[in-house]
Amino acid sequence: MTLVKSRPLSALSLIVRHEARILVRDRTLPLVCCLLVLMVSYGLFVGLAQATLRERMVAQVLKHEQETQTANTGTLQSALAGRSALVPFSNPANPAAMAGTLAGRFATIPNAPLAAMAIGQSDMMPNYYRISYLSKVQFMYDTEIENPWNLLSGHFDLAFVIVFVLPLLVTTLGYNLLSAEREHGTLRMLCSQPLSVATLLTGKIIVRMLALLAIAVPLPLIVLLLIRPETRGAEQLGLMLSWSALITAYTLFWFAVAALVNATGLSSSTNALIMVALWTTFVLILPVTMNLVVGLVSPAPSRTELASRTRVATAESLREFENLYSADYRYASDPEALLVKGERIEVPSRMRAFFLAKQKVDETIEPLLERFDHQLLQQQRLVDRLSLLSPAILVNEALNSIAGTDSRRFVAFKDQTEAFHERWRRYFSPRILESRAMTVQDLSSLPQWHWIEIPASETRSSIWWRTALMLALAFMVGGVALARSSRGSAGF
Amino acid sequence: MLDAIGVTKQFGAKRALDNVSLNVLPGEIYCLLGANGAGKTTLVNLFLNFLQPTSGSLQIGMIDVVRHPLETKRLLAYIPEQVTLYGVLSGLENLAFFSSLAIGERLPRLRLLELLEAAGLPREAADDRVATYSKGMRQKVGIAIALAKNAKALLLDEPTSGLDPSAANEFSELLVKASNDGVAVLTTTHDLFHAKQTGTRLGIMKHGRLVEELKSEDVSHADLEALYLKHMKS
Repeated sequence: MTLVKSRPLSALSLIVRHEARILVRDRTLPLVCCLLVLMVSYGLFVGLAQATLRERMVAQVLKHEQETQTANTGTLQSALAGRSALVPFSNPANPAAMAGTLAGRFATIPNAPLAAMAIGQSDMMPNYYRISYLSKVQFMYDTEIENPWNLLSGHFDLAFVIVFVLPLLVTTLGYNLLSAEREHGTLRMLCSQPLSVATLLTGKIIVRMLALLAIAVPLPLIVLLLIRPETRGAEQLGLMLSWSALITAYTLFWFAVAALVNATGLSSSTNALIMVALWTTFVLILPVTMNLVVGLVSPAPSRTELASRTRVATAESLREFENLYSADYRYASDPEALLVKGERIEVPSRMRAFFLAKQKVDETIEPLLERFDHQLLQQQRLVDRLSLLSPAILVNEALNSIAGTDSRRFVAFKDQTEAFHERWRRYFSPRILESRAMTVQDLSSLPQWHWIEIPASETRSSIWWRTALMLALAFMVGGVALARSSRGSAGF
Repeated sequence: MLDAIGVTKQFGAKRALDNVSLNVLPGEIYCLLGANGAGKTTLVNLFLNFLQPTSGSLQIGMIDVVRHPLETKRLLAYIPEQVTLYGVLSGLENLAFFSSLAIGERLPRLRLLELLEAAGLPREAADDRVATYSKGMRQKVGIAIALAKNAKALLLDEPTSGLDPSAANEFSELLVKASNDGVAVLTTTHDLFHAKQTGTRLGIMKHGRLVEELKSEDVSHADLEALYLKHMKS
């Protein structure tokens, strides 16, 4: 008898078509798909609402900045022309007042084009800072970088649907891939045909995976492309491709887990229990455990210490400049003191003292801030390393990177704001100390804030290695599952 | 066509099959008799590669079952005691699917209906959902699947169990027809009457061993029953 070579592709396509028909007939697939459509839509809606809110906040801040600049220019022009009197603490000619809050300058971070895809850290981190000569501790260190897994249980956004809900839907569709066939008795009928269990398992997974991905991937992308023009650039399309690959890899991983569980030959109810236990472990327990580990290995910097040290530094600075803190409220009785004389203006010594004291506080506290930042960086690195242990964190971090709501972007924003704050101080320092009056020309040439986006190549590489890792994990688990099922572990 | 050569199957400490050798030639109907737990179904499972032998080998058409499971299954049709099909599909749809899987191509509807009719299923039931079928009707779809495969060997695991006498009779007739067409048939059964009536060779198994092998024509109904009981009691 000659050997007739098997036709696995033909068998696979048959299984795929057959499974699709069975799943549609017994209404499991339409139900799960409807549920996924609802959740993806709602998750996207939440993301879009949050992104819009942040855009509005930034727009309002920038509008306020523009209005303040116009008002300051008008006030100064009017005062210089002698048309109106100046008010002591709203005197745009006074460099100390302008360096404080009068200039109304803001450092802002715009939404990344795909921000609606994951809220990530954007609801925890500020998207603008009001720049003044105040100590940066006062306006920048009153928030902290949140560990990514703390945010896993945050908003019901698209990332939440992908990381949390999608594996549950995979469980719903995949807990009984083989066990149901075995329990109904059809597995024996199927496997008495020239069909391997591995082919059967693969076919079943393909149908279910295609059904879920056909909703989870194109639906948000189409909506974003339609309503957000900024998502249509080549770079964004590349990120969308990475996003699709990542979600495919994550879904494949969970189906591989389902295949492995099914290959053990246990009952459907036991499989369901195992799958739920694995979901709980990967998505809930592991992140919480890792959070504890990070807290122990690399504890969060002490806010109390920072606050106490800042208070001490402030008190010492105030003492150092106490001779300047003479209450010079003579402007009320002597409005002439507010006037620009030549190119000079009398900067009230109290304001000068305040400027110097805040500068001193920053200088004193800088080593502590550096330690603080270093500690946060260490913590983030540990988070990155440990995230390899949990697919959920791995994917969540990558989704945030794509949406531009990950901690790296906010750390960059903080660093750039610090640099801008320093520039702001340097610009005003000689003017305050030498009592040089601000001119109309000065007002239009104040230091400008420009957000410099973190390099796209960095984002891309961070996403692709996570996707590659996820795929490797999926293929490893899937390979073991197929090998086990081929060895007859599926149990007839 | 169906060869078991010195097959032993051990489940932990329990030996389900002990050095069993048998061969079924094309055109033969080999009926395996024996009490529950004698090892009949284990032997069937080994031919289907659902289990692997601890020692010995199994061949279908001279092809090793363990090394080439898919190739041997192309030569083999199997009808279990309970033919289980997809309840949400009709008999015709089940036949279309399983026959496509078996032969790698989709048969036309007319041919599928002919096969169901040949297996004894009324034409008007072909498009009904299998969930509404009786056991006998499902068994007939199982037979139609086997017929569609046009297999060289037929494995049957207590196929008439639970069928009414008329259906069992029809089934026996189909087996005879298949053997006349040169198909090698190996069937397990408790039904001595049907075994004697349809089988060309009979084997009696006990405690995993093939204790008796005889030609059907060499023994009467009464002698077969006596022989069987003797082995069961000893």
